[in-house]
Amino acid sequence: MKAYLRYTLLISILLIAVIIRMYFANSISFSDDESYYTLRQLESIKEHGIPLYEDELSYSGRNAVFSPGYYYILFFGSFIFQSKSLVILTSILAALSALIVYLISLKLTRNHLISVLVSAMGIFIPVYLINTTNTLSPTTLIIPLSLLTIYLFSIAKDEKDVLWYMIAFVILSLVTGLSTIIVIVFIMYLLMLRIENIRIIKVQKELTIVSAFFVIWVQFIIYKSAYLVHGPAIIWRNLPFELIIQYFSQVNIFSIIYFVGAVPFFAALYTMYKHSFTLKNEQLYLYTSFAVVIAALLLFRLIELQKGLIYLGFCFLIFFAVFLKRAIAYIERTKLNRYKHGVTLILIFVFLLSSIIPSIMALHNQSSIPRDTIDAMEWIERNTDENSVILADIKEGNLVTEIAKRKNIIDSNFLLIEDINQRVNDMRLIYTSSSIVKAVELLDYYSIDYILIGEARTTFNIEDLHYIDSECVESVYDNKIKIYKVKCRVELSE
Amino acid sequence: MKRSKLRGMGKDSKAKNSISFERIYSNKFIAIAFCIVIFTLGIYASYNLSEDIVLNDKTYDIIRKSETSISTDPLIDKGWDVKSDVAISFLRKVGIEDINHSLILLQLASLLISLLLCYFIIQKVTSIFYVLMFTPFFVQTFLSFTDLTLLIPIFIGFILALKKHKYVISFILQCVIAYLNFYVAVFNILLLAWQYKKKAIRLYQAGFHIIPLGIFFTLAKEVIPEGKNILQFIFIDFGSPIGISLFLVILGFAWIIIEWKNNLGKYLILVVIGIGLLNMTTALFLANIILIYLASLLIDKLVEEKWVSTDLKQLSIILIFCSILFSGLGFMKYSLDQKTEISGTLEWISARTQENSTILSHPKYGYMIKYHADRRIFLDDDISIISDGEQKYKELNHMFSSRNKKEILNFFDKYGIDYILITEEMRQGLVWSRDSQGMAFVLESNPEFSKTYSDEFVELWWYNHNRDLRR
Repeated sequence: MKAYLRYTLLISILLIAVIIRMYFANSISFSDDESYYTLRQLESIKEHGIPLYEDELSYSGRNAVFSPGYYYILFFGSFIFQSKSLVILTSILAALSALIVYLISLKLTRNHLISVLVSAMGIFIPVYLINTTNTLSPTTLIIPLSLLTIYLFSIAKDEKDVLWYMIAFVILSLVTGLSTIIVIVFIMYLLMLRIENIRIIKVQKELTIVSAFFVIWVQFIIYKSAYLVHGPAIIWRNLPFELIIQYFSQVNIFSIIYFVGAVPFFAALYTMYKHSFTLKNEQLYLYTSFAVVIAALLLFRLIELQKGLIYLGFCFLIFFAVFLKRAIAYIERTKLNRYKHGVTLILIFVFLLSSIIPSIMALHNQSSIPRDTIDAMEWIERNTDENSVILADIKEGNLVTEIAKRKNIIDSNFLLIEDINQRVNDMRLIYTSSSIVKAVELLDYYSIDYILIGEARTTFNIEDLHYIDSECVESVYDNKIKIYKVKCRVELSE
Repeated sequence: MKRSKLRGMGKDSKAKNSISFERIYSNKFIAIAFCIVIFTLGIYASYNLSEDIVLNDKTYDIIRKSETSISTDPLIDKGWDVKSDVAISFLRKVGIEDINHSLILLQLASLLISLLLCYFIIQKVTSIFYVLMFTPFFVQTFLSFTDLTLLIPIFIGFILALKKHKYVISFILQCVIAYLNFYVAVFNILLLAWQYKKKAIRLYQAGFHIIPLGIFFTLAKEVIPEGKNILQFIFIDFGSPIGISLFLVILGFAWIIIEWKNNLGKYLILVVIGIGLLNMTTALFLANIILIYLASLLIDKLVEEKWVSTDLKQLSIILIFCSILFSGLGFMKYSLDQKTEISGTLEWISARTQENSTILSHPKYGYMIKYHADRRIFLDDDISIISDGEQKYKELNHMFSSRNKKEILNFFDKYGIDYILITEEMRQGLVWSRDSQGMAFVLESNPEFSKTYSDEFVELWWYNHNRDLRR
């Protein structure tokens, strides 16, 4: 394939990836509340030079721990893109995964055409598309950076290749704690080579050692206070019990097939079997160990379901490239040789059906934050005291702090919050209790000034508060979203 | 031509730099000297700059004991810890009266002896001295005076005596070790058994070393505080004051896996786990020493191996030491900050409360309250020395979580408690996980209790014993 054609196709693939994401991006709001937390971080960096380690609004005042790298990278991007238009930047970052898939496939197959095809398929991994559209989530950078790190590791042969790998790995360690998984993959890869008596490339061994020490050290520095408070439970991000089931769901094959794609899934299984047990292709061991590690983490619920499926999706796609090459080579040796292009097109068509359609359907069904919620938050900002405390659902917590600029009781940043399950239970009691006494006791304990009924309707299966007729709450806003002002407080009797 | 010469020169100088780094690193005398200088500075700094704040709380008791001649502790229902008294009495007889100087000398002597003994035992391993210097366990042990400050050199001396087949000396040291820490003496028996298996010792020679265990059997006690997460008890990174560094564990186990076939380390770790079932503190002490040794072997292996990239090699070694150092220093800074916050309040208590008052708080603050406030306490962390210490500890835990007013008042009356000291740490997980839990609710909602002092770190509540006033 000629070079100019190749580059043209790649650029087109990147553009299509960005355009698809922008097409489904809502102009008013993001698809998740985490994006609003990202905006707050950017505001903090602009104002103070550092992210929000001491947050006065979240949980009515708390210390926070997080990997700051992503926010600084986005901060530099915010000189060009402002606020909502940062979605363009994150879409570009997410689209770069396709380019990296091309590089990896090229290394494994040495076939430009197959690599370009697989790269195009990389745009339509359903779970990845859903999680990286209309959002400022760090996932948009974590995935391409992880793939890049693995690719640079696989091509490292001597001292010259070390620098680019170290740069990518250092950035990855500062962006996410999932960099630990990448190191586990490398260790697993070296173990597999050792078991199979395949020569280990010395520089890869050295890179694994340095990466292991570096990631442990960096994660300790960033998350030390969280380790002290939560211990090993930090793996589950101190999620409340109810959300652990949701975020760390048990995985099953059907969900993998649906979210990853049927064709890459079966092709990957076949390729892994063939190249691990029969052909012993050392280049593929790295991606086999990647798949095995991710699968094991999903099985033991040590990684979030969505992120695990995204990693598996790309892994299977890479295996699909190898499968495609073997399939074409096999067809060329048979009587079907004259139909090899047809067979290839059929395979690709089946992939399109099994990946693109679920992707587009999921994007259609994906909802962004409703306009009503944004309006309610803006009303709160205009009409309430600066020090007011707002009770809202977990999914609205970051909107309260970013749009309404008020204190919340709970949001999706759970690390360093010691009584999170108690807090969730208290929130449930306030929303669902029939007893005004119990509700007021809790409202007073958390110093809540306003109660917002929005997402809580779905979470707690309620239409409204049970004690709206009491004198302790007064309706101040009612436009699909309801806001009540709390008028009672608990006093100690003499 | 010139360019290639310059390139060649660059490579040579880089190689020279790496050689000189390894030469310096491999020189044990430089390593020991470096260790001694750093620790000496640290010890002097800790006594002269810290304003009576020490890393290990037990040092407070030792300082108090040395300033009096009586044999019992007037501020709690128990005797003094006689073990540390032996060393201080010895120094007094030699002619050193100032307790700070006594402790400094003891710590320095202990450090020097430990390092020298290490040098004679471990002749091939160099990095052990650097690892010792950075390990939180070693730093905490020698920058403040504790039981371990005496125990470590004696234990290392025992190992050296075994190695040199000097069994009379090892027997004497075994007696001392059994007196200081019964379970370390048990571990020594296992070392002797291993020597016997290697046919390096006769059965009767090994058997003699069991005698001290029989004599000091009654000293074998420990209570693991209830309610503590076991990981928070074991790992210094999760908050344990006497624990092992998680990073050291990773290095130690990495070495065991790499050298699985010919490796004594894996057996020693199993033994330590077994001892942990009997006495956690001893197991942590032994685990630290074994892991330090294993980690040093790993580091030495990393240094000796030829790497493709010298930069990566040096980066790895720097990262290892940074990680070990960081986990310990981070915790020590955290605990020192806490102590600074509380010590000011305790001095206020000393000035504003009656001399015979009794203060109730979490046992971990016991030593500090006795030292800074000079007041009686209910319980401190050394529960094993008190005859009813376990019972009292269980009772205290029950009272902290109880909301039964009558039960709590009876408890206060029974032990004559006048004040209750509540710290920020107690409210944030040490005792309670939220406000108005357990005893805190009773304090806040009953007129028998009044808050006499409050700042952002500490609260002091007074209990009115006078029943007439309550009516």
